[in-house]
Amino acid sequence: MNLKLRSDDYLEHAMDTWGALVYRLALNQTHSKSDADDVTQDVFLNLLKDSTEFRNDEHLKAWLIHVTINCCRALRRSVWSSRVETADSSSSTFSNLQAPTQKLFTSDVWEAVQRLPQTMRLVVHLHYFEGYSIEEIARTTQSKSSTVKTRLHRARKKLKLDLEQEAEREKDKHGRLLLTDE
Amino acid sequence: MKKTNMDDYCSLMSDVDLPDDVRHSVLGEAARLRNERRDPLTSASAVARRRPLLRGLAISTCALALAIAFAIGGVLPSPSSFVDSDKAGNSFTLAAYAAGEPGKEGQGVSLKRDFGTLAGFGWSDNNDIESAYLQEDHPSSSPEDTKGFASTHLFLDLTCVGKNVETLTYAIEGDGAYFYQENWNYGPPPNTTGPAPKPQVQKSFTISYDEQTKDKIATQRQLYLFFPLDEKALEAYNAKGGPSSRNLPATSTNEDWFKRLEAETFRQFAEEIVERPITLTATFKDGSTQTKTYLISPTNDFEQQMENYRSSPEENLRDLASYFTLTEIVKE
Repeated sequence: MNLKLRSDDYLEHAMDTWGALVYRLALNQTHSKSDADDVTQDVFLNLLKDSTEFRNDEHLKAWLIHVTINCCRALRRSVWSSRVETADSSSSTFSNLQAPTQKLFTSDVWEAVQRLPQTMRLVVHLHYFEGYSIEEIARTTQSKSSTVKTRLHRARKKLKLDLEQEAEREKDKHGRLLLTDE
Repeated sequence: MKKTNMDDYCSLMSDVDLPDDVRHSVLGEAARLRNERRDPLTSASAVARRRPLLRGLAISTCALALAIAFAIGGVLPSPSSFVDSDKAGNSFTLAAYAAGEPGKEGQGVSLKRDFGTLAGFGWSDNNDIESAYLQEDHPSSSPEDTKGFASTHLFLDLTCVGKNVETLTYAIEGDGAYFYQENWNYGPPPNTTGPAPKPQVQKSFTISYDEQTKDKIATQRQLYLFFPLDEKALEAYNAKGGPSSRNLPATSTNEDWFKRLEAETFRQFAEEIVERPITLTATFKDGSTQTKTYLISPTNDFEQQMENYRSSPEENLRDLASYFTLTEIVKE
């Protein structure tokens, strides 16, 4: 088995363009700095060996998100994810974090988002942070739009977001109200 | 009521960047892989990846602790193979076997909880399930043969530990037993056309020893066993109380029926799996090979465990360690 590897230039381009995206998504899914490091490494090593001919950077981005979700899912299944990592601000693990990550880990909003089930966290991250629409998230996660919509709605309720404000936000963006009670 | 501000989430998250050490680690591993392909004998594993190294260390530490325990105890009969390297220093064993504790009455080793879980069952009126997985055009049973068939799916940790191992070939013997594999990365990226590759079942597969961790990340592997239901399981399958379509998931209305069917199917699975040995063949860097065979067998108190399951709503069948042991048979 001697598959062709992608060039370092391509790998660097991919990391420059989408490295932060992969890392942030991995952080959201694993809520652990070291697991996010590992997932990110695995994602780009998958890219190194993968032979997909990407049409453009957006195609590459979609592939990277898809693979990141799968790597996080695989990590959860493995015995290695059973260890617990704390983000206690007095721990040495915490002091090794970059300042923005420390700030994120100690914020109220991070704590609230991390309390959500993993599937809701994913939808929240892709929608709010990456700006994906419900249809785009459904395609990326290979789920039904109605499932994504329900998860997002439940996540909003759990996060105690202002639902009226959220509904307005959706209306403004798409010209119609996407979120409805089940 | 305290509101969560998602603008804060976006603002804080956008300040987080890919750490330099991760970037360097990826490029370092890429360089190692390139060197390995140019000169596979001298550069293999010269530069270890951070995560795989941690995982490898954990396995080695666990195995080393066992080897030490055996050396100190001096009386434990098995798992012997972990320390049975040949003159060239070649050795291998299933990590789960090395990590297990010797069972009672020479019953192999008891399994750790992370060895395997029950992924699920499937049932059908004929054995089309197996034919479908084998992608056969014609089901191997005719409609007049119609009775009940089951498929049982297990997640198993088939990681091996060893010395000088180049590749590992896993094979399963016996009717209706297969390894199922699905590439976690298989899905076509969004906005692309064309079907995703079909899941595959196969009697054997080979992976590189050094790629075991990667394989676990990229590939979902399960053990599938298809078998015709025996009398007791068939009785449970045909019993009143089930859903109109028997392949529907359990609901509150058919929960008792479903639990009984699961229990009978699992009981029969335990009788069947012991007839399907898993054979591992390691090919070492010097070209030599060694084969070991592992048997998954029900524990001596399997019946009691099943009684517990039947009588308690909290009990589940997922954790295989409660129900099975692992026995190694060494073939020269």
